[in-house]
Amino acid sequence: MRGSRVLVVVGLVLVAASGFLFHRLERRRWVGDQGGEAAPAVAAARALGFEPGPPASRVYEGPMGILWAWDLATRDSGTPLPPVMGVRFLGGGEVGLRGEVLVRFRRPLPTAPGRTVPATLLPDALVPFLQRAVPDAASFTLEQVASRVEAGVTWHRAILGRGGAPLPEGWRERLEVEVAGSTVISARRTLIPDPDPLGVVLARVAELGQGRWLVLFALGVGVLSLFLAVAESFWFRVRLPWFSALVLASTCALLGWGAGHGTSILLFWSGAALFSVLVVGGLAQAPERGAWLAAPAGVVLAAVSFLVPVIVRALGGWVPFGGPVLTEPWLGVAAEAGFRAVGEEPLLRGGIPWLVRPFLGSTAAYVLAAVAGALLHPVPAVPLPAGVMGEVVAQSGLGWVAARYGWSCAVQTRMVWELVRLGFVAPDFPWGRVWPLALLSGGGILLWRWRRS
Amino acid sequence: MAVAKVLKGFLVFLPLVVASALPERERAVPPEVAVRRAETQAPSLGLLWGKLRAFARERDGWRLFYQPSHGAWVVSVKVRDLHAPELPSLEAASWLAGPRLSAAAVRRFSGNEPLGLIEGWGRRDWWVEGRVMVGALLASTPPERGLSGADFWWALSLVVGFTLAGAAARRMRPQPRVSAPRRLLLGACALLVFAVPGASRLAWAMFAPGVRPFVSLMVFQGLATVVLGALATAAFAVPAFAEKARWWPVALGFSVGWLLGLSSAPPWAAAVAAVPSRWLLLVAGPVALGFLTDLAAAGWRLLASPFGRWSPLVAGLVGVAGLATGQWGLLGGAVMATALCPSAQGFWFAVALAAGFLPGAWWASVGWWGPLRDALGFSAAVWAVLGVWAFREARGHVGATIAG
Repeated sequence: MRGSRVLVVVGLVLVAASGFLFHRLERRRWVGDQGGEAAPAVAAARALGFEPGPPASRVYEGPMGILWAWDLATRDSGTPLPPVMGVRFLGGGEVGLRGEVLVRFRRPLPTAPGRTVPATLLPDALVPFLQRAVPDAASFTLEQVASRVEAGVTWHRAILGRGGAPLPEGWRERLEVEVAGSTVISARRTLIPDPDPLGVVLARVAELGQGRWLVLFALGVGVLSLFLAVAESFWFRVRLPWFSALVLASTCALLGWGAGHGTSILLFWSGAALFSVLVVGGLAQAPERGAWLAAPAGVVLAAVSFLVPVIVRALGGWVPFGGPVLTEPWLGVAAEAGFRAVGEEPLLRGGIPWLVRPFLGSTAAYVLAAVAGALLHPVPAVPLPAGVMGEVVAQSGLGWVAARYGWSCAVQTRMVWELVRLGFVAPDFPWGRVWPLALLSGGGILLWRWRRS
Repeated sequence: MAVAKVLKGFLVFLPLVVASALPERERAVPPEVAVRRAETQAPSLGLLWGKLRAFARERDGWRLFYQPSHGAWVVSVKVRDLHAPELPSLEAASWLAGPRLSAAAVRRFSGNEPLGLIEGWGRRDWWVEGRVMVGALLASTPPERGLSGADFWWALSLVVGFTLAGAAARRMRPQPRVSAPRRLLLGACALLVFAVPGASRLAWAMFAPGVRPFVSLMVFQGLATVVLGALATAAFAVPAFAEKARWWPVALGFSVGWLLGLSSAPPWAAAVAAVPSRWLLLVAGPVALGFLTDLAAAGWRLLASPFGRWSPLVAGLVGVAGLATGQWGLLGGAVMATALCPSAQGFWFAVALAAGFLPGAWWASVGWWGPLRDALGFSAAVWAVLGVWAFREARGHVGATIAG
C-alpha cells in the first residue's frame, strides 16, 4: 500500500515536471536545433557569392563568459545568446553563425579579386555585402578604414561599430570587414561586453572555482580514508567486489577520456569510484531495489534544476538556465553525463556517507555530500549562494534516492538527470528526442510498477 | 654512569653552545616596518592598493599583498630590508576594463621592448623586460603563485606516502590504545581552530585577482577545518601508540629540533613569527606535526621491514641525505630521526622535535623582540621542566634502587 502511494506521488511529480520541461522547451529554441547540419552555413556562404567546398569540420564555440554575461544583462527581456556554430570548408573558407545571424565569414583570395575600390568609396562598395550579410546593418556606423597593398592587390579593412539598443546597456558590437580589390574576403562580428555583468559572472566563477578546489581536497582526504579501509579489509581477508569495482572504475576512465578530461582528473575519479565501490559493495552492503526509479527521478531532478533559476529570477536574483553549455558533439555530452554519474555518485552517495555517517548521522552525511557535489560543478549566481543552493536541494534528492533505493540507483538517476540537463543547453545534442524518451520510459516504468503493486 | 649523565646534559645544552658559536646572520625586521615603508616610499601604481591581506618572507625582505574588498586586483610589494621598496606588481582580473595598447605604444611608454601580450576580456596586457603593462599601468612582474619547486613536491610526496603507509600499518597491526597522545592531539586541534584566522596572513596564494577576499578567507578556513577534522578523526582511527613519556627522548628531540631550526632558519619561520596567533602555533602546531611525523615514521618502519636489522642504517642514510638536500629535505630527516627512535617514545620525540624547530629558527633569523621573547621563554620553560623531570626521574630511580 505504502509502495503504491510512493508511486502515485512520484507519478504526480513526474507529470508536473514534464509539464514544466515542455514549457521550458520554448527556452531552448535559441539553440536553433540545427540538428548537426552544416546546411545553413553553406547557404550563407552561397548567399555571399562564395561557392564553398564540402564541410570539413563543424564546431560550436561559447565562450561561456560572454553567454552568461549576456544572460545576466538581459535577464528581464529573456533573449539568451546562442553559441556560434563555426563551419570550415575543404579548399578554404569558413562561416560562423550565431543562431541565424552571420558572425564570421572568410573565403580564399580569388585569382581575380576585381577592380580596386578607392578608400573613399569603400562605404558605398560595402552596401551590397552588408545588405546580404548583416540584417541590422543600419545600426552600424563606420569608425575606421585602413588600406594596404600586398602583392599588387589593394586591401581595405573597414571597422564598423554600434552600441545601444538592441544591445544591452554598456555593450558594443564591432564589425570588421576586409576587402581585397572589390571582393569581401572576410567579415567578423565581435561582441564587446559591458565589464559589469562580465565581471560579476567571471568573478563568481573564480570564487566558486576556489570552493571547488576546497571540495576536491576534502574529497581527496575521503578517498585516502576509503583506501585505508580497503587496505585493512584486504589484510583481514574480507570478501570485496573487485570485479565490479574495476569494471566501474574502467568505465569511469573511459567516459572521462571520451569527455576530454585530463589524466589527473581521470585518475582521481576512477580511484574514487574504485575504492567507493569496494567499500560500499564489500563493507556496507545494502539491498539494491530501486533500478525502476532512475528514469522518473532523473526527469524530476532535471525539472528541479530548471525550476531553481525561475524561482531565483522571480526573487530578483540570477542563475543561468541549465548550467555550462557543452559545445562538444552529442557523444561528448553523453560521455560527460556518464562520467559525472559513474565517477561522482559512488563517492558522493556511497563512500563519503559511509565515512561520515558514524559522526554526523545518515541525513547530515547525505546533505554534506550534496553540498560537496554542488560545489564540484559551480555556476555563477547572484547572490553567490543561490547557484549552490538549488544544486544542494537536487543532490539531496539524490541522497534520498541512495538512502532508500541504493547507491547504484543514484548512479542511474544521475545519468538521466545529467543527460536531460546538459543536453538542454548543448547545441549539438538531440534533446528534443532524449527528454520525451526519458519521460515516456519513466512514465511507462511507473505504470508497470503500479500494475504490479 | 656519570659520564653518560654529563653527555646527556651536554647534548641538552648543545643548542645554546651552537647558538653562541654561529656567526651572526641578517635578521628580519618586523613586517609592520615593511608595511610603513611600502605605504610611504613605494612608487605609485595609479590605483588604490586596498587592505593588507597577507605577507610572505623572502630571503632579503618582505613581500606584502594588498587587495581591495571588491577583489578585482591584487597588489604585491617587495620591501627589501636594506633597500627602498620596489615597484609594486599588479595582478588584475581579466575582465577589468582597460586600453588595448599597440606594441609601439608599449615600447614608447615603458622604454623597453615588448616580449608578448595577453589578450584579456576587457583589455590587453603586455610583458616587457622585467615589467608588465596591465592595460596602461606599468607594474613589476608578479610573484609565482603556488608552492615551491620540485624539492618541495618530492619531500611532500614521500612524507605523504610514508604517512599513508603508517596509517595502514596502524590499522593492520592495532596496538594498545593510550589516551594521552589522543587527548593531546585533540586539545591541539581545538587550539589550532583559534589560530586559523591569524594564520590567514600567511595564505597569500589564496588571494587571487577577481576573487573577493572574504571568499578567499572562507575557503582558507574551510581548508583548515578539513585538515583539523581529519587530524581529530585520525586521533581515533589511527591512534599514536606511546608509552609514558621519558625526559631523555623529549630533551633530545627538542635539542635536535632547536638545532635544525637554528641551522636552516627558513624564511617562512619569520613569517610565522609575525602572525598574531604565533603562541598558539608554537604550542599546538608541534603536537599535530609530531603526530603526523610519528605516523610517517611508522610507515617507514613498515616499508623498511624487508631490510631487517639494516633498516636503522638505511633510515640514517636516508635522513642524512634528506638533511643534506636542504630546506624541504628536513621533513624527510625528521621522519627518519623519529623512525630511529624506539617506537614507544617516537610520538614524544617527534612532538619535541617539532616544538624545538620554531624557537631555534626565530632565534637565528628574527630581529624583533616579540618572537625572540617567546622563543626564549618557551625554550627556557621547556628546559626547566625537563631539568625538574630529569631530576625527579633520577631521584625516583635512586629511590627505587635503595628500596629494591
